[in-house]
Amino acid sequence: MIALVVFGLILFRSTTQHWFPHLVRQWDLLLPFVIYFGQRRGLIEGLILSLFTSHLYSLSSVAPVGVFATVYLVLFVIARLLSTIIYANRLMSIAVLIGALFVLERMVLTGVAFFFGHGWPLFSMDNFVWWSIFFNASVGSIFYLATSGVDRLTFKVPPINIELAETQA
Amino acid sequence: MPKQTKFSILLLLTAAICFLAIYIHRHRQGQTTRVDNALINASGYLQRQFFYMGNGARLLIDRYLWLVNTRKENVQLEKELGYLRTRLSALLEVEAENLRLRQALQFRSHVEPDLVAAHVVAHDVSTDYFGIRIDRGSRHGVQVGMGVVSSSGLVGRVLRVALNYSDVLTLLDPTSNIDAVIQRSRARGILSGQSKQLLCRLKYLDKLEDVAVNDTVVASGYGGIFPKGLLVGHVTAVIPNPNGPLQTVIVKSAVDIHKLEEVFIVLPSTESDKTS
Repeated sequence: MIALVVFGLILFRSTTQHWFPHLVRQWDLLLPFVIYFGQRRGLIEGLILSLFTSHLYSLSSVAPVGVFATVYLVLFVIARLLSTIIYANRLMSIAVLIGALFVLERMVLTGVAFFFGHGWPLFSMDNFVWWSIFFNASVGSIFYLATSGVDRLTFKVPPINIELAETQA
Repeated sequence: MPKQTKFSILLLLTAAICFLAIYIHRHRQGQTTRVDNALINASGYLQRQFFYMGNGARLLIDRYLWLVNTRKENVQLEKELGYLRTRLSALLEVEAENLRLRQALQFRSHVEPDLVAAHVVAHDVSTDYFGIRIDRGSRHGVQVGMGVVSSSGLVGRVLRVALNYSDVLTLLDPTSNIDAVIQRSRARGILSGQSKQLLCRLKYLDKLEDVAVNDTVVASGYGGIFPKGLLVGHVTAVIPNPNGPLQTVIVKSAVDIHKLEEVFIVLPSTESDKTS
């Protein structure tokens, strides 16, 4: 179901982007989902979902097939590794996590694009839009929390003790 | 399984997928598998419906709700039309003279390219690449590498072809390279996009070349992908480099990629056309 939601968002974004190009262009719609898969879903399930959704994403872009699969796979692994240290479940922690991984994504994408023979200074001051960090952190947090809410409603992720521990503390 | 082994396997798998992706990219550029083809066709169909629905709603708002300045614009456009009519008659005169001179010199006539019309159905979903999806594919004779133009000028070239849809790499994309010349001085360079700034950069131009702001940039016609002299854009800035041999030339594309609705695919002229 989550793959269908991502597919719907890809369709929505690709067909409405020309209305507000400067704003919508900054929105990385897949990032919060990949972070969510890394943080909250099982390893195999998260891996398959990340690869599938990033491949769908690749097919709606002129980027070489494989660039986004690689970038989001790396981000999935990082989100997975981070899940052993940070379990983001509050708005602030989710926003910080997405913001930080968004900055990291720019660097990963530059590196991956370079290996694909497409290197260009993505992370240069000219090409980097600073407000996009906050934009993605806030929009991404909404999607992250919505996915989390849907997963709880469908008992995909059972309510876990960390929240209990937080409230007791 | 211990956690460390699990992560090692995950990292190895990630590395393997990365190498596989690079291998596929290097060896199968522009090709699509059957699964990809089906996915592109399915998403292309849905994108076309969404795109038309959205445009319909937008047209309704534009045509009926935002008519405040229409009369003022009309007067301005009428003035502009009068000026352009005068220019056109002068240009027709020049064209006729050009034709006479060409006939006198027995030059072969300019070959008009074959064009296939297509609708834009979607824009690139990523934050960094600039592409469009059009509703013509291999079934309509579209092939990878063909040029795409619009009534305003050069758009880009076909990058990936599915059965009914194709993806076009526009000139705004940083990975796009188009051979272009400055119309006035015939200075030649390679035009590439500048990522998020919606501008292009004319590369490899010697700093001694004569380039000025507002100069018109046109397609050089080399390679036969785009018709020679096709409008590309206008120079908006020339940044001299005191320490290097090259100068930086910034070009604003004549085509607004975000307002494109119809485009034309340039079919390569046949050998008989070329030799005639």
